[in-house]
Amino acid sequence: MRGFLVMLKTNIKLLLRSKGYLCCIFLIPILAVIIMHGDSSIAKEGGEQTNRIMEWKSISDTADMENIKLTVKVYDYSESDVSSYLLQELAQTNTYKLYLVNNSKEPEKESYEDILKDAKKTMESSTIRAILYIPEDFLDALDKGEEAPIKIIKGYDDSRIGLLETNIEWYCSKIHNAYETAVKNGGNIETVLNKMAEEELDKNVIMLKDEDSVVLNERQQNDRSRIGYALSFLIISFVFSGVFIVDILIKENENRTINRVKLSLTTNRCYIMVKVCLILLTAIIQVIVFGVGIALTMGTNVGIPYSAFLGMVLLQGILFNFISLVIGVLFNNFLGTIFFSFTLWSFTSLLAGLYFPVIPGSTIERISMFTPQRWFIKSTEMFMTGKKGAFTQYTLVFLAFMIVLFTISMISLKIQEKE
Amino acid sequence: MDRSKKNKIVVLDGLTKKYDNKTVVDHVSLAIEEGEIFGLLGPNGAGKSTMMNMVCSIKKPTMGNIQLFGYDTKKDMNKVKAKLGYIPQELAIHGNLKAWENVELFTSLYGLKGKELKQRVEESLRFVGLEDKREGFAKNFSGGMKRRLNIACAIGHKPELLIFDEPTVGIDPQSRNFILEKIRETNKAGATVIYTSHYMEEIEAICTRVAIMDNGKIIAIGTKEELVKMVSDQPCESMSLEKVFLTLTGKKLRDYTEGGF
Amino acid sequence: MLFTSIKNNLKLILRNKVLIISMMLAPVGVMWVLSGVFEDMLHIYSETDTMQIAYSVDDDSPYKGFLDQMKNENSMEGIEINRYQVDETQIESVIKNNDIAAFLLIGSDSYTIYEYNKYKNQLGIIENVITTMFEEMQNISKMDIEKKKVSYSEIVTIDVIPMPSSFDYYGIIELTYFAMCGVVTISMVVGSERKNRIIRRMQVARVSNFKVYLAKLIPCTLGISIELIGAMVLSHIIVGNRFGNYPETIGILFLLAVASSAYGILALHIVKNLAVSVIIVFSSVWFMGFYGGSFQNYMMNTAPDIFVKLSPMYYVNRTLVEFRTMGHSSYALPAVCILIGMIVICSLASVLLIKREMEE
Repeated sequence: MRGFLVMLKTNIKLLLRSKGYLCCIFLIPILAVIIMHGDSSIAKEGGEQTNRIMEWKSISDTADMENIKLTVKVYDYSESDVSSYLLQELAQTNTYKLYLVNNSKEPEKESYEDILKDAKKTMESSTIRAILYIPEDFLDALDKGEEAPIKIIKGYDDSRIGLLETNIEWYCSKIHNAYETAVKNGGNIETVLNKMAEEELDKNVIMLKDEDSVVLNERQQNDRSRIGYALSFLIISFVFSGVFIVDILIKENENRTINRVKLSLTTNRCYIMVKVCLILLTAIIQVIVFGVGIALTMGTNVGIPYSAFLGMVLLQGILFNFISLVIGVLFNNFLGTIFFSFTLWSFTSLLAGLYFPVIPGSTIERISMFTPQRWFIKSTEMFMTGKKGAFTQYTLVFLAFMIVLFTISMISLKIQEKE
Repeated sequence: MDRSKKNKIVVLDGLTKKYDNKTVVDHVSLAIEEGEIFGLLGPNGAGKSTMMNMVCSIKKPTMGNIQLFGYDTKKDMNKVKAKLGYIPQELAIHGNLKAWENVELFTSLYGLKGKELKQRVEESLRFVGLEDKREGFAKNFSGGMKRRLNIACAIGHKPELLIFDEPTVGIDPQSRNFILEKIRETNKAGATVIYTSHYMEEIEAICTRVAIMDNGKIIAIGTKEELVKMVSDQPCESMSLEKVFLTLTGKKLRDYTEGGF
Repeated sequence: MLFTSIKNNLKLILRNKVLIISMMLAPVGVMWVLSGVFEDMLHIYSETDTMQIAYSVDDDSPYKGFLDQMKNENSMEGIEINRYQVDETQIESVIKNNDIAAFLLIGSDSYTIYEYNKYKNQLGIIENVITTMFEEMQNISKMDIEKKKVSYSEIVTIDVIPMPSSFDYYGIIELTYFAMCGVVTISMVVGSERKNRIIRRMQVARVSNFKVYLAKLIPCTLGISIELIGAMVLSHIIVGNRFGNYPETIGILFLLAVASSAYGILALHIVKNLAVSVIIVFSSVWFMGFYGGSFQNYMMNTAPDIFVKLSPMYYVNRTLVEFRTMGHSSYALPAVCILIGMIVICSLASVLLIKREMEE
């Protein structure tokens, strides 16, 4: 290992004299910390939800990537037990996601005309496909037999809206019937409705999942999204720091200083070890900056054990620094390496679902298994749901990627040597 | 070790290098003795640099054998590495490193450490006249300073055989003169030197023996007197090496491209 | 001189075949991924294929006759129902082995729906149909439905901007994203120009700064245009996307190619280091795209409006998507103005920087 320390020291000096590299090891990880703080109001999956009547907060909360259930915004101006009953019954069918506007939080009730105007923007910019309007005089209207007091506002021809209308008709007829029974028997409508509900058969729903499918609740999805975004940003720093490391190698090839190394008493192994150490040191510094930043600003609760989280980030760091190194060895051109690394980062981050969940079982999910980031997300989900062996699985996958990369770089070096 | 080759530092035997079907170095055989300043002269694309690269084991020969200090480089290159110093045609230095850092890096690759390493670095910088510029970044140096630093990086481990591959390309006469002077000094100190160039006057000024190479072959070898005798009956003093060279290699332009035509 | 420079630079660009092909393939790859991922989100649900469900009921159950009748008559539209007489422990294997969406196990005072997660898009409807069915069976005899003379609800349809399919959306959006990254097309040429000090020759030849600029802008624009055409054809073949209003779309894409070239060339002149310039352009385009709908769609983007409105790509994206979905767009004029603004500002700045470079 002749010259190992001097080579390592010199390489570090060269890197620290590059502003781009400094950005990669300090600035970008700090930006990733800021991103971890952000509100991850990105599109979510349907997820596992117990309560299907949610309070309307903002339009951004309603984005649903899978769009499995019909998302409905509800204006219940009746605010009666009966209208609540209707909404509960609709929710029980497990076909709808209802976002109920909280009247007490609104400064004043919107008129039906205003709701109609607002409906256009709401439907154009969300996955809300219907707006349900229950008027203030809903009970009176039922009593008087008025035509169509409930309005279902739709913009797009979603065929589930027909089902919603059928359900409303059915439950309203039940309510109407209960109302008449109550009037006839001198009781109240709620009692009749409760009695009817008691007589119904109990309904149980059991969801069968394929073994590897993971379902996260909303909070876990938020954590995963934040981690995904932050990881994506961190990976830019890993990729580009790797590019700066390989830039030294490319320059050594260009200005033939590599020949001096070949002619000296040092070995190829020593030379490679220097580059590997640079990668390790770089990844460790990046993870320390990121890890300390997170711990100082938001604590260590990121949704999964903090040490495992940082461990997984470190392995990603090593992997992506190494990927850039391999690309640099293959291209032997700085600009080509940057372009290819950037494209690789963009494409794999998209494919792996760092910006949005990847639907299990889809072709994209199968292809995404070839990206290291996908395994990071998979392991994160496993940690979140308390599955065992997440870190072991992740480490094995990391080793597999490293073996493949090492083989590719060795083969390409051999080919280059022959040429 | 063969005793008959005891003072022969470099022995080339049928050395050949082919790229696809193009023969760049064609069955070259020669021997360079200890203490010589051996000049290798040839037009562009003659195969000089390729031959030097093979001597240093940077490139593998297609055919033939190379012996350095009596060792076959195919088998025992590691045994002669410490005795070999190579100054390539390119500026093989890191622009973003200071002068002393460049010398330290390349000298340390020969196993030198601590005080000894520091001492050798200073000696090398002093030898090439860069001791005052030791803290300067190589990228800010002039062409001549870079050339000198290029030399300093190759001499820190005190090699016994120094190969200079066109070390004076694109520099001013002062720097050139300085470099030639230093080569003589190194030789006087006991090192054997191989010097390739197409500047006739440089070769004429410092080399004890010259080989003229063209189209991958050695077409003439000997002292200046011997070379002059090969082409003319005139006295040696009245004929320049350039005339000898042009007589032997012809006046046709040598256009060649590295990546093919 | 100008024509020769443009011709030579264009030749240099086109000789870099790997880059040209990459710039054609990269958007197609990304649009393929994103259109697949967001297919459901941009999908308007319509009747799908027949859903398979199974049921198990005891022979002495009061519901047996009803369910058997339903089975024979296929009375639930779009749902095929079959009886499996198995016990509770076998249900999971029946579902998975026979690829059934749901299994209905009926007891004496309760029923259980086993739902297979694989068919989660259909399960809501299946559960709805089953729930309603049981409620109707329970209550219909007790309720005087005949009394109902009026409808309780009414569907009110409003006009909305048509929703693009994910294939059309990302097929359009990713083209604009990668067109904005077009600086790489000229970067190699600028790199070699710098390395070989061509600018010195220009100085000596007294070429005007504007001509030096045009000699880069025009070939870069042509290069990006060629890449765009290639990507458009490839994406149509692979992803199947289409554009609307072809003449206007092509016009805007051409303006985008010019703007992207001007922006990229400016970055190359601001920062002397080629690699850093490319990184700056890529990163800034990433942000423009992030807020302009290149990754998530701009319709459902949750980013603050101010950032969205600051991204030039938002206007271009929205215009091109609305051309496809509506045939017109009120964003066309702002998009054209922004692109022309970018071209003018970047060009002026570049010419000034070239002037400074020539005077150095």
